[in-house]
Amino acid sequence: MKTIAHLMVLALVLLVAPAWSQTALITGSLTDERTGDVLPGATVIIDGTSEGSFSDLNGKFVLRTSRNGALTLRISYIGYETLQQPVNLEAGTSIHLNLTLKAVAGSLSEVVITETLQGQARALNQQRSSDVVMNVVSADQIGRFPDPNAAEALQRVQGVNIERDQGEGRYVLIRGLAPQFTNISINGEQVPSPEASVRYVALDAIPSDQLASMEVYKTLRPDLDGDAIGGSVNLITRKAQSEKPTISGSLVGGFNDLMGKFNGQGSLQYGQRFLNNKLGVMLNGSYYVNNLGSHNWERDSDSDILNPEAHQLELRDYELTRTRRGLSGTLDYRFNDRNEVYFRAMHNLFTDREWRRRFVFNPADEEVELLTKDRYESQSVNSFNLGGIHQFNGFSLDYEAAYAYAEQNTPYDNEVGFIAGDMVSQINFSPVDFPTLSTAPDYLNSGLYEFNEFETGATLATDENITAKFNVQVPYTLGKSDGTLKFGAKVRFKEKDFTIQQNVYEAIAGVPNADAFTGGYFAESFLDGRFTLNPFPVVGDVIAYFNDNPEQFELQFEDKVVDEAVEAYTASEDVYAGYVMTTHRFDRLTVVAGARYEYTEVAYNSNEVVFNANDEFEGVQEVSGTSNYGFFLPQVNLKYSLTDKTQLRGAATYSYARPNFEDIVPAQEANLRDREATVGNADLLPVSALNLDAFAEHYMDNLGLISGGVYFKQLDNFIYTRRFESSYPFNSPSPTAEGILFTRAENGGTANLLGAEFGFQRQLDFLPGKLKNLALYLNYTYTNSTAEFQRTDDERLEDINLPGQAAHVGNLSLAYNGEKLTIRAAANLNGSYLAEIGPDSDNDIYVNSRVQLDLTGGYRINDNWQFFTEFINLTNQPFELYSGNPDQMMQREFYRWWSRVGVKFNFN
Amino acid sequence: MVPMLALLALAACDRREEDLVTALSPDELPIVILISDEGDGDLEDADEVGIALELLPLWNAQTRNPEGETPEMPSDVTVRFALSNPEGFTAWDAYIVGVDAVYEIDDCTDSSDEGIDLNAEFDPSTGTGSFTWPQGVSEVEVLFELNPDLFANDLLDGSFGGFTFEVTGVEGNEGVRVSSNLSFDYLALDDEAVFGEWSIDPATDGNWEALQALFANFDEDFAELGVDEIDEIVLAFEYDKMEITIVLLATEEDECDPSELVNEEIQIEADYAFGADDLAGLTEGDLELEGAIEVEGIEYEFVLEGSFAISADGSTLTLELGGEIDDISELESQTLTLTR
Repeated sequence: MKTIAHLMVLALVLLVAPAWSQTALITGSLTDERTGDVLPGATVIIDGTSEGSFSDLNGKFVLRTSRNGALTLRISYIGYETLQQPVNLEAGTSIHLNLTLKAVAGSLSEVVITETLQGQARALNQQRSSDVVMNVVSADQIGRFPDPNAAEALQRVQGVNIERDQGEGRYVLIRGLAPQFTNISINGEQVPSPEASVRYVALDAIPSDQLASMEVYKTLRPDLDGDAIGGSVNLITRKAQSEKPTISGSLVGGFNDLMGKFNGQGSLQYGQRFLNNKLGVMLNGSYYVNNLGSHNWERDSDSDILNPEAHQLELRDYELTRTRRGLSGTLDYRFNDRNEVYFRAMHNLFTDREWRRRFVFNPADEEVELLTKDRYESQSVNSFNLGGIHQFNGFSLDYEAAYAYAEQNTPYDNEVGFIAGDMVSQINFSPVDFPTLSTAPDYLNSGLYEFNEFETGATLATDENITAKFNVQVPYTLGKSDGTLKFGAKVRFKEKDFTIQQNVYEAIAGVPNADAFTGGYFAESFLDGRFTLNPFPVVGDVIAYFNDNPEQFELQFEDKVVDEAVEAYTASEDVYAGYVMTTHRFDRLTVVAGARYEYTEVAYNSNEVVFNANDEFEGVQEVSGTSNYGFFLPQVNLKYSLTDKTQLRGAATYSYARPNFEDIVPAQEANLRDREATVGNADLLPVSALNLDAFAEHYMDNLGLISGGVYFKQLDNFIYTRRFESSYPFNSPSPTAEGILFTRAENGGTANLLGAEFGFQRQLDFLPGKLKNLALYLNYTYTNSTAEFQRTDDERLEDINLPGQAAHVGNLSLAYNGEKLTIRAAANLNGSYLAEIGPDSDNDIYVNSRVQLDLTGGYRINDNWQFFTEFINLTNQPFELYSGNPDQMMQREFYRWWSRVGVKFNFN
Repeated sequence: MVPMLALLALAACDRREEDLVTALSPDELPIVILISDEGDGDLEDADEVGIALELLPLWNAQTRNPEGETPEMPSDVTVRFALSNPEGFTAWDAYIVGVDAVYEIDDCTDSSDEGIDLNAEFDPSTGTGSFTWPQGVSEVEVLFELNPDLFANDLLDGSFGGFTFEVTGVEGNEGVRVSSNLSFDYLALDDEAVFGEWSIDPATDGNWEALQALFANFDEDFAELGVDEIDEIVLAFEYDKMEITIVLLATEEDECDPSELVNEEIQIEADYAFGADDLAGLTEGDLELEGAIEVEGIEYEFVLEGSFAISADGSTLTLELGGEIDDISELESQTLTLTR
């Protein structure tokens, strides 16, 4: 890596040194004439040439040119009048411009650029100016209807859908690909995952009001991390813009219909520049508390959907309290218009207290179980970035050192279980919506339920990244065209580990039946009264009894040893990356081409739990290993401007996706009595992908956009879960058992994915009167994939859809954007997708398609205050899982609707 | 101050501490005295019963032993016990004629051999007693001396004599507890019923073949055995199991006295699928036995079903047994003839 860095510096000196003395530097900032808000994504061009630049997120632009004399800068911005700015340049000098743009008046386009539409304008301009296929959600769009978390704010983006947990958005999927193919960054740097088993980040841990903007990259450039097959999401925090103090915030209250409980949210933001605009201070804090719940029925088919006699029914009654706390701050110091340093810090804490109360009906054993789980979990994501940006006449340099830490801490995860025998029940799953349950009414008599066991556990997963990187940009001229050479390097050192404490207690004697412990909340109208519940055991009461009478309980030592060993691991991952690329502008064509190389070294330590042929625990063996791989990623993006507002884009890029640590750690666990085992796969290869994109977009003056494109991805070595028979221990020269059914992550062959996306948004300004304030927004993404893989050990190859890949994803919304009043009805479609591969196609688990309908409204009281309200999930859409086909429903979880109402304020 | 209070108020919103009761951690668990078995029985003329008490294994975070580790009593404690449910008598001193408590020092020596007195006491008027559990000891056996004549008769009794033993408390160390809901039931087994020892003469027609057909899979040594290697075969119907002891002609040194030679033995066991109560007062009836055996390193469950019949003079027992061993074989019904 040192050699690569030396070569890059040498190349820089040779290429640009002679030109530095001749290059003039123009820096500038663009703001809205009326509001003073910065304008990102503006196109700045030297009139009559192809030389140009774009304003960044802070409305600043940098333009280097070897031209001199009297020139005119042409600055265009959708929704604003184009500005012609004369400048007089001398070779080797620099100038700084503070420019304002004026929003188009009603007479120009029949649409007044109200404050409500300014966010949309910024987003569209950033998209237009981008040299890759991307979508932007601006701060105004995030803040107008404050979505509680970043995932929910992203769901409106074309080609983006989200996975939900308890009705709240959690994971982001781009273009129908599973979350593991999406790279999540904060301020351009990857975020470590708080979770132990996956790499991707649950975005419900990040409050949306911490963010200034969200960028969704659908094609890659060499200066972006290459492990993003589906795409890359970059969350950008806020920065102070003006010497005038800015204080803004929100105060929100809400109601959850299912729980009959309230929720609340508040945020406060302060930003100001000091010392003659040199020092910027931005502080942001937010807090959200949400009381929610769900009613859920699940079918446990004992791993075989075609064996109805083994099916169990679970009725699950969830009660949750979730909070989100966000604190962020940015200090930036501008030495002058060309040099600045910054320090960004961000802390996000998501907490989740969950009570899960359930009945489990087991007709085969004539038993019913009564269980209550009480768990608290916190996820924190913290990042600290220290960096600088320097503009020299001949080149620019930016660099950054970053530290990020994420953890998922579960200080307690307790569950108590009671069981009643001689409970005959009959369950009919033929009605797809709700099974019918016929059982003795005695199941509601908690006095019949004997103590079974109670578990108390705690886990801690940590993930730490230390990153350093630099980027250099050098302008150059080639004949009549010009471009920018960019190169850089990056190192990232990751440490990740997972520890578990788990204690299972069974009774020795004397523990009372469940009726001694029941009480507290339970759903009195469960699933709208279709099933009857009774008070459940209170976990705290059982634990208090245990603490008073520990002599009546017996710790299960072997379970403790196995549970604490089998999933725990420590791992390190060192990534070294370098790239070189050019952004070359020929008249209407912009070519971004280059290559990136990423080399990864992984080392891990875990445990293997060994059982003998009688399924008797024999011991724990430490296992460790390494895995190293490198990827060379050539990437080309083309953008051709048919007009100022119509662009064609194309891209051919290579990318990859690293396997989860949990999958590569070769720990194995077996239940030989059930003849099943799981084993990690140290030989698991990353997924590599060739991505081809063709895209067209047309922007309208009235803040409309019509866009569409097709994309093709060829994934090699895609990862899937395979179940096959082998001897135990796996690959051992002296196995203790034969014919064990193993589950293991493996590489498949090649998967081809073909998709098309379409988006349309515009003001319906052709309508008369107030109706011209109506706006239509729709997008749709279709994806089809075939992946060839070996499901079992019978050598037969099958074609499936890629797990996590949804065929249909889309949004449809109709909005009224008046000068003061805004109303929006939005429907969000998440198509069905394969979630889990079973031993045969009948047992493949799918997430069913879901359409959620939301209604939001806002009223701008004056320049400082805005009132808003929202109603979510109006049609009570459930989360559904099915096995094989939608007639074999496995789970339906309902949340009912919830609402929020509040005010936002903004003083500056 | 106000921001601090606000932060505290917000922190409470996550309900992290609401109604939270933190469970004792494994290293906070007390030492617990247990009764090793739920019950036992011996023939009606038995003169002693021993009831073993032990300490519940504890978690050792250093060794992470998957069996747990049996602790030692941290200090001398007084263990109190009570007898209840007298069956077949009313006054405790009619059946319980003495009490002692011993612990094992090694496989061949116990505390009484060393003259160690555990201060065992029993008050027949209340049915209660006590003994000292010494520091450093992990298991103690309470021995009750019984009146062997109380139940000894030649009648087929329809019910059992016996009593229930419970540990009622412990004194001397707050970190030691008893699992007071446990009890031990002792039954005096009627030797006019099927209980007791029966001899199997391998020379009797069909006996040896029947034994091999039923139990060859149970023990490799037994499968390879010849009749001429056997001294005697004893089948005992005990409190909760049937046990076959094959006494071989071959001898070995006695474990505790190497100067003595004792016959080698092979033992085969099968648990009743029911309680001993179900055999009370019967000279014939059904039998159901179950258990697990290991064949070539793999454990299999077995079930034996059949019937028993005692001859009118009580000298001969005829067993009809068949069954199956999971995944290995069906065991065809065999007839065994036993004498006493």
